[in-house]
Amino acid sequence: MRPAVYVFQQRAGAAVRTVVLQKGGRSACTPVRQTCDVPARCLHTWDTPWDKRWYSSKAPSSITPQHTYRAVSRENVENDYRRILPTSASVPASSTEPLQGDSRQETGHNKPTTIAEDGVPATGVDDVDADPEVLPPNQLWREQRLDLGKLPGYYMKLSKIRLTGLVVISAMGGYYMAPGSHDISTFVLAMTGTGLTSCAANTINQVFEVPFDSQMDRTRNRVLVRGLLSPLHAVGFATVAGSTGTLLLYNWINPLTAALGVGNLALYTLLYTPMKRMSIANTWVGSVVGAIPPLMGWAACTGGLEAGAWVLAGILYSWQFPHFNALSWRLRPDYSRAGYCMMSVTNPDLCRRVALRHCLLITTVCSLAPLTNLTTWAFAFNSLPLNLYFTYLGWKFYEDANNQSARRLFMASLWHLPTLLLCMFICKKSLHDKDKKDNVKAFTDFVVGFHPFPVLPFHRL
Amino acid sequence: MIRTFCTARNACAAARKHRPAVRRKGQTKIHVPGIAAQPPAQSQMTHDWIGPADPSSNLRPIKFRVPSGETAAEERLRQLRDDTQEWNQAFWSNHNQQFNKEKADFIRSWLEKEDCNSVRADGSKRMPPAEDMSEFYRTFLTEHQHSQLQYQREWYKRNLYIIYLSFRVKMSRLVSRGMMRR
Repeated sequence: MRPAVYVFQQRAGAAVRTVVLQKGGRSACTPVRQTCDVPARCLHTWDTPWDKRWYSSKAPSSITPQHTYRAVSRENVENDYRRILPTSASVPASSTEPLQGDSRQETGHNKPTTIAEDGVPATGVDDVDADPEVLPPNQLWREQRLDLGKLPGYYMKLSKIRLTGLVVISAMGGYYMAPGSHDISTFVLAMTGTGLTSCAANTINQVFEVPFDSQMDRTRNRVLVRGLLSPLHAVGFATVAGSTGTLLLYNWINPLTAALGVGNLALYTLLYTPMKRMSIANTWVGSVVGAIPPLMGWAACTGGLEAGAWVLAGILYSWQFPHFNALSWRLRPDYSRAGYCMMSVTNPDLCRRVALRHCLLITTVCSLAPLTNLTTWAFAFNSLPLNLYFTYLGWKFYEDANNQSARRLFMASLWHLPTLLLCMFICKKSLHDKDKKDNVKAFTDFVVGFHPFPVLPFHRL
Repeated sequence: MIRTFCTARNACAAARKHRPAVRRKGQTKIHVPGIAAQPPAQSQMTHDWIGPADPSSNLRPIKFRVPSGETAAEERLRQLRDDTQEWNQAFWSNHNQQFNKEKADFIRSWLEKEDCNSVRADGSKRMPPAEDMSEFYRTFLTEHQHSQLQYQREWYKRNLYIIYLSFRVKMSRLVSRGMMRR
C-alpha cells in the first residue's frame, strides 16, 4: 500500500510544533481523517515500524498522545520524505497565528506546507544520545563541558569549511592563471595561508552574530548559537588561525599577499559584518571580499597584480551578485525579522536589476578576457554558451522573481563558476604560446608533480 | 541517512512526548551525563548549563555556575553575562512579538481589502502572495531599523567587553593554577 504522509499541526499553544506522521499499512490502526480534530496515532515511521526501533517498546497500542492534531495537508508520496522534511530544526516564535515566523510557509500555496520538524539536531553533531522517551534533544538542557573529541568538527563548522574551501579554490585559480613560475611549496603555503585567514574571518563573523543567527532558520544550529564553544574560545581560534595564516603569507610568500589577506579579513569582519544591518551597500562590500582571494593567489605567484588578475577578480566580483541575490530572495521573511538590510527586502527591483546587470557583465568580461593575455580567444567562445545560459536565468529572475526562478538562478550559479574557471584554466594563454613544448612541459611537470587527477592530454587541444 | 534517522526518531519522540511516564517491563530510562530536562541545583553544577531556545526570543538561556571561591573579576563577568542575557531576551521577545502582531495586522487588512475568508475551501490558511508580503517586510525593516542599530551598537560593546573579561578571568585562573602547582 502506498504510504501517505500527513503533515500535522499541533493546536496552538505557547509554542507551536509540527510532527510528521505517516500512516502505515496496519489494518488495526485508526485512519486519520483530514478535516476534523482527531487523536492522531504515530503508527509507522518511514521505513522502520515501531517494534523494530531499537529504543522503542514492542507494543504500539498504548500510543495515544494527549495532544490532538489537526491535519493541515495530505500528500501521497512514494519515497520523497526529504522534500517534506527539511533538516533544520525550527521552533517558530509564539504567536496567535501558528507558524507565522516560518519563512518556509511563504514558499508556495499550491504545495503542501513544508514544515520543519521540531527537535532535530540538524548537524547531528551531538545530543543524539539523549533520552528520546522524555523530550527531543533540542528541548533539553546541556552541560557546557568541552568535548575535545568533537573539537575539530567544531572548528570546521566555525570556519564554515565549505565556504573556506571555495575561497581557497578561487585562490588556486588565481595562482594557476598567473604567468609566473609555479612551485609546489609556494602553492601549498599560499593556499594554507589563504584558508587560515578565511577561517579566522568566518569565525569572528559568527562570534558577533550569535543573537541574529538564533533568529533565522538557516543559522539556528551554529556552534556558538548552541553554546558548544565559548565566545572566548572562538576568538582564540580566530586569532591563532588568522595570525598563523598572515605570518605564513608574509614570511614565505610575499608582503603583498599578506596585506591582501589582512585587508580581506578586516574588510569582512570590521566592515561587512556590521554593515549587514546598516545599509544594502553591504552586498557590494561582500562582493569585493569574494573577489580578493584570486588576487591573493595571483600575487603569490607573480608578486604583483597584472591586468589578468583584475579580470579574474572582476569575474568573481560580478558572480557574487546573482548568487547572493537569488539566495536572499527566498530568505526575505527571516532577514526582515532578524533586521538585516538586504536588497531583496528593501528594494526588490534593484535586487533583480543588479543580478541581471552582473550576469551581463560576466559575459562581457569573459568575452574580453583574451585582450589582457589571460586566456586565448577560444575562451571567449567556449564560455559564451555558459554565460548566455546564466544570463538567461538571470533574465528570468529579473522578469518574474519568484522562489522558483530564484532557486534556479542560485543553483546554476553553483556550477557556473567552477565550470567557467575550468574553461579558463584550459584556455590559459601561456599554455598555447608559440614555444609550445616548453610550456607544455612546465605544465605537465606541475600537474604530475601535484595533481591527484590523471594527466589529461592538454597538448592535444 | 543519519539525519533521517534522527528526524524520524525525534518525530516519534515528539509525538509521544507528553505521555505519562509508564515504565515498561525491562526498560529503564536512559541517563546521559551532561544532558537533562532541567539543570541541577547550584551546588551540584560543575559547568554552566545551556537550555533550549526560548520560543519567543529564540535565544538559549544559560544557567551560570557560581563557584565557591569566586573572585571579583569572575563575579563581574558572570553578572555581565547574566545581564546581557536578560537584556537580549527582553529585546528579542519584544521584537518578535511586534513582528508577529504587525504581520497579523497586515494579513488581516489584506484579507479585508481582498474581501475573502481567512480559510480557504480546503482548510488551509489563505495568505497574501509573496509580492504583497514583501511590502510588509520592507516596511517592517525600515520602521525598526533605528532600534536595531541601537541594539547592535550596544550588543557589540557588551560582547567585546564579555570577551575581554573572559580573557582576563582565564589568564588569572591559569596564573593561580600555576602558582598552586608550584
